[in-house]
Amino acid sequence: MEASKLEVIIKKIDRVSEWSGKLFSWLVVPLTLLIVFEVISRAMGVPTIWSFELSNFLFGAHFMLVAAYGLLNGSHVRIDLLVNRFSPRTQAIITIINYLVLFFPFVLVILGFGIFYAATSWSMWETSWSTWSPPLYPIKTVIPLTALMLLIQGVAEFIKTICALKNEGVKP
Amino acid sequence: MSPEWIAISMFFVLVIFLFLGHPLAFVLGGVGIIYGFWGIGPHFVGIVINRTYGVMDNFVLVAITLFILMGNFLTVSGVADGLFRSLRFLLGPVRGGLGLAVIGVCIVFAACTGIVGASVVTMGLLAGPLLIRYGYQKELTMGMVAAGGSLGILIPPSIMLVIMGDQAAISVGQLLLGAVVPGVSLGILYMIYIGVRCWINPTLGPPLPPEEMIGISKSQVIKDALKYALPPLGLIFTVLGSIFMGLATPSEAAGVGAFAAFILMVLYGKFSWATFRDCLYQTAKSTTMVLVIVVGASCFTTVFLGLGGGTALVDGMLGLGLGKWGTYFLMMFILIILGMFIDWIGIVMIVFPIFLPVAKALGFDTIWFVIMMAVNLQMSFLSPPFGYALFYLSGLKIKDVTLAHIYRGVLPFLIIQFIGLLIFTYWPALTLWLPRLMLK
Repeated sequence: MEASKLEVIIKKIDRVSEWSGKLFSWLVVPLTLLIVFEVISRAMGVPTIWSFELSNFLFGAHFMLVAAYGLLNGSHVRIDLLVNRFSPRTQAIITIINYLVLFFPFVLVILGFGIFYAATSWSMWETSWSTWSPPLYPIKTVIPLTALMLLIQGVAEFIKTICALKNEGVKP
Repeated sequence: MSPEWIAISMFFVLVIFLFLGHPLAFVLGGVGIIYGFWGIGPHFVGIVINRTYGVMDNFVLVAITLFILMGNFLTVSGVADGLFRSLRFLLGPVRGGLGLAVIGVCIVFAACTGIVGASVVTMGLLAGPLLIRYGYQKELTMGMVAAGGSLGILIPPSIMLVIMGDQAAISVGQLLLGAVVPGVSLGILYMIYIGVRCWINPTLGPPLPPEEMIGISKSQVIKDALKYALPPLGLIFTVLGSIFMGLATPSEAAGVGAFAAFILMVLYGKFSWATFRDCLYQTAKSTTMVLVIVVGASCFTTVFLGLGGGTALVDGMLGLGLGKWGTYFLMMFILIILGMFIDWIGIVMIVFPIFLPVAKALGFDTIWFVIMMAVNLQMSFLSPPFGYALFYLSGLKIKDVTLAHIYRGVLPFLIIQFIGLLIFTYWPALTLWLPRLMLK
């Protein structure tokens, strides 16, 4: 009963990461069009004051917000030539240790300080120093948001590993 | 503990955790966090967050996303298939001709993509079974696909050079141009090797039997070759040319290149919404993989340099008394060893803060030195036990090809890469003439 409930939650988390990743993947389309637009408008002698910063916003949001999607799909590079030689049980234990010692501390610290960082920006309605002076609080909020999404997907991966350890022999 | 010992222990812990198979990005970040709290105190996190934002708010790195997108569009355009089909008939009748065709396609392919995976996988599937069916030696076939496919990260556009330029705070445009000659020369060295070996011993790579060529019109084949080679090459020359002329920054050139690659994909008749969406998803996965490592590594290096580990290692290296060239070859040797175990991006992020100050102190030209590192890291794709090209190839499960064939096959190409490194080291002008011509 409990295991199946857990499974439902994990499936939901996976689905959220999958959909958010696919959604945010599209940010690269406006990014490309914006750069083409800026190159053309500069060639015509009417450069914009906003395209440079806006393209950085799109770029930053794009790669950060799909990080959890990458974690779900195992696309983050890892060196597994050594651990692949171990038994599934040992592999699962190592994965659990890695999550506890490295992943969760890193993501939690970025989440905690990231919230503070974004909150500071919101509290003073921070804008950039440029002529266009766009608000910076939305893009700064991307940092804690990314950490949160990574944390949730990380918890899902963590539980998957523990489940695999319980019903031994199943590879995470 | 003195900074030297903290630095050394930090490296040690990093290496141990790297081998425990956790994603590189989070190993770097996690080790940074542990040592930061232990050695510096919580206030270092503020710097880490600022540097994370610095990675996001960085117009130079925008080129990574857009070059990856461009490469994905060109990959699904079927340029490699088309070009290989025609080059195979053009060069087929010569001994080793199919091998020359493979490297030729790899060079064009490398000029389309900035990463390694797509070219090794595509060429492995396309050429691997075919060459073996025509009687090519399995080792030679696997070696050329691995080596040729790995050119993608050296011949511009190259994701590696963008990262390197950003980390070294030098012009990405000059780096991209500087890598043209070394990248293409390596390809030519591979061709010479394949040609000579098959000429001496045709059983390694026999010519296509004459009956295969019946009913093939030469002019049609040449037309096909041009149809698939000229548009992508034209695209790349435009991208590099606009950087060279100072008309556009690499990121802008990449954006226009991605857009043009999309149009090429439509013109080649390969557009469908499903393919298009796949290109976007693939781009997202590759991009986040690279850039999240940069974020994690900036956490690691902030702490590592903050603890004084950087200066300790730089001083230590300079204090060895090996002289200018002794130190150079020591650094190259360290890169080769690291390349056996860690992938290129980890190596770049870890060794740059140490090697660059050393190279500067010894009076090496930074552009040249960085490109030598890039040439050196070509070996990391082929060198066992951990080499991407080897993984991709063995993952393809080509019939009758074992991991031993692949390992034996890449060995001569590793030697050629090393010879290439020596040549470009001895004649820096080969690398530097193009970036020096660049209009500023």
